[in-house]
Amino acid sequence: MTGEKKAMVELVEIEKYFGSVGAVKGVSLEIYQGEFLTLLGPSGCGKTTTLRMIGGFEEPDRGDVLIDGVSVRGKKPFERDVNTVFQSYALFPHMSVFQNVAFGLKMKGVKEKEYRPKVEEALKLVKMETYADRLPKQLSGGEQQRVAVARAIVNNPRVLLLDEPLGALDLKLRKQMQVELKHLQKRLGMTFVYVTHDQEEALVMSDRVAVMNSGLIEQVDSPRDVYRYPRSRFVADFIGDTNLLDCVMKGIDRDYVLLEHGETIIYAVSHYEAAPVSGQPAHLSIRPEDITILGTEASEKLKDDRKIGSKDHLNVIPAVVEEVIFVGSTAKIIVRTKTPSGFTLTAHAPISSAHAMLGQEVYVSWEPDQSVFTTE
Amino acid sequence: MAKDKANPTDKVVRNGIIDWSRLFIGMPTLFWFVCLIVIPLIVTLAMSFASRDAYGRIIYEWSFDNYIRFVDPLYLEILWRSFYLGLITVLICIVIGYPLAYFIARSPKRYKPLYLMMVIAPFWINLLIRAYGWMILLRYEGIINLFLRRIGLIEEPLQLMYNDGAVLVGLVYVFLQFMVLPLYATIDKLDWTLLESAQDLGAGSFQTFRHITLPLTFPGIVGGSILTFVPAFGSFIIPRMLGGSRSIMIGNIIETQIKVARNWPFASASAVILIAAAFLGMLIYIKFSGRTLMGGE
Repeated sequence: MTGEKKAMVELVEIEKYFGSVGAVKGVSLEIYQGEFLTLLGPSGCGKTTTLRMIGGFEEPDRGDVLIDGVSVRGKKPFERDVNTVFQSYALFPHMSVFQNVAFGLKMKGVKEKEYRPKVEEALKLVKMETYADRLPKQLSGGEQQRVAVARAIVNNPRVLLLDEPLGALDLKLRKQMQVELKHLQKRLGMTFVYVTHDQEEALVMSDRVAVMNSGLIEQVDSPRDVYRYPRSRFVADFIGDTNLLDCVMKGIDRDYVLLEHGETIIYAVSHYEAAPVSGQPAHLSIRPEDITILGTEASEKLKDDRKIGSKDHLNVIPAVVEEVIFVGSTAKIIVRTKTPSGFTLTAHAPISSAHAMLGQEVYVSWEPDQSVFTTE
Repeated sequence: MAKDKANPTDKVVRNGIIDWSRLFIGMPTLFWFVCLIVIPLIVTLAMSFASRDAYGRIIYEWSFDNYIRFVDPLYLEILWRSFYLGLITVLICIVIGYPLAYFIARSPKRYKPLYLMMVIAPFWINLLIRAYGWMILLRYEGIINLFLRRIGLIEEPLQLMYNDGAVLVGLVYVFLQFMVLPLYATIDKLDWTLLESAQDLGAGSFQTFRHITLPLTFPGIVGGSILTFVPAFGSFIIPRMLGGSRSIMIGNIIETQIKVARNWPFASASAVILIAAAFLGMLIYIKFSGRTLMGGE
């Protein structure tokens, strides 16, 4: 996206309560034209309710929803220029694939002569053109999903809403469909708002990810930034695997913030807090892939040099390898630090060297700017 | 979908081998079916070709006389009126029953049993008592006429009973639940996201109903219509109590021929004609409805 970003959907402090239970408790968000935005969060976080308020299936109790700058409060789903791909696909079982896709255009009073080529084109886009005469029940889950997408995009909506559309598919098909949906979105230049609880799916597909938790947005950023620089403990924990350590801020040393976790001092970099306050609690996140395990040789050398604690050797901690777990392309190494109050860390290591490490005394190390902390 | 497909192990006879344990479970049903339906039907059919002597005894000399006797404007008119009243009953039951079934299906879960109970409850009261209830309401000095006169809407009591209207009221009242229950079952099963989806695609409330709700709940209408039409067509208590001499139905002919005229063979022939007409009507109905609304499904 270059130049000025135009907001296609604006959520202004929307709230939705079901009885006394708050599903969405004040969400503000701008979704730009042509972007692929994902609402990501665990079940019950309010992501689907937020989507349904954009689609017009729920009315916000408070706040406003704007589509292309115009408030759509009180407007019925069919009065909004958005279409939805439902989790269950919601294909009409008594209509053929063609009739399903043509339904939206027919309802808008488009003549058959005009809608036929459009429907055929939409089916071609999702590679379902040879299935036009089939009934939904004669299709596999993946095929039904494609038809559901075609049925929505044929109306050329300003915004396409997708409510966990890949949730019912098996892993392999899901991964394939992720790429296909992303390509389709780029090709059409259409604004996609996607809901999922699968963090990997969100990272793969989105331009931006809005991470939601208990009715609020915790962070909106690019997949990379959400992963790399989580703003809260929840985001760090929810996105990817990480080592979360509850710390207390101790002060500042050179460019680094000093954090203490059980008498161990850790050097970290602040990304969000301008002035760290000594004594304030903080959550430290270190991704397993950022932790290096130094073998015996390198560790011996470190001992001789007594460089530990110098500028190049911050965050070097002695530890014992407790467990080695094979996970496919790499191995997961679980170590317990040999510090006054030992804690466990998970690191990744190549399989070739992993098994020899079991029970060994090693040093674990990571760069200070790879240890991200947050006070939220 | 896959779960709709019949499980091959459900069949009693598979690859020409009889599954005796399954057949055994079905025995009581089979016994009742044969003893109370198949054998009486065969007897009725046989008797319809017989005749009777002066004392009402049955003489088994095969002839078509009873059927020929039925082909008479008097009987044909009654047959036609029965058919027609049954049909109108079905239509009224659809018009009243569909919204009712829809309302119950969309009600909060905890209210559904109560509403369904209210639909079924009248069934627990004897049909005769319920018919008398309607007589109290409809008769010349009945509650409705009394009320209308009291509020000054009419001078003279209305003739509410002993006509086709009264018979229809009674038939609809008695058979409405046979329409509501199958309709409720299909509407309740309806996936509401399909309706949301239709709305999302630009269909208004009426279009959603016309293109999605109605076709998908049509099996319920067909089922309810059959369950309502067959007993309404052959009913005899309601027309005898609420209808006048001009509102008799084919059920009344059969009843009179058995109990009063003691002409069992002719009653049998009438019964065979009733069953055949009902069967034919349903056959045409299913074929017709299957073509138009279900798209050949």
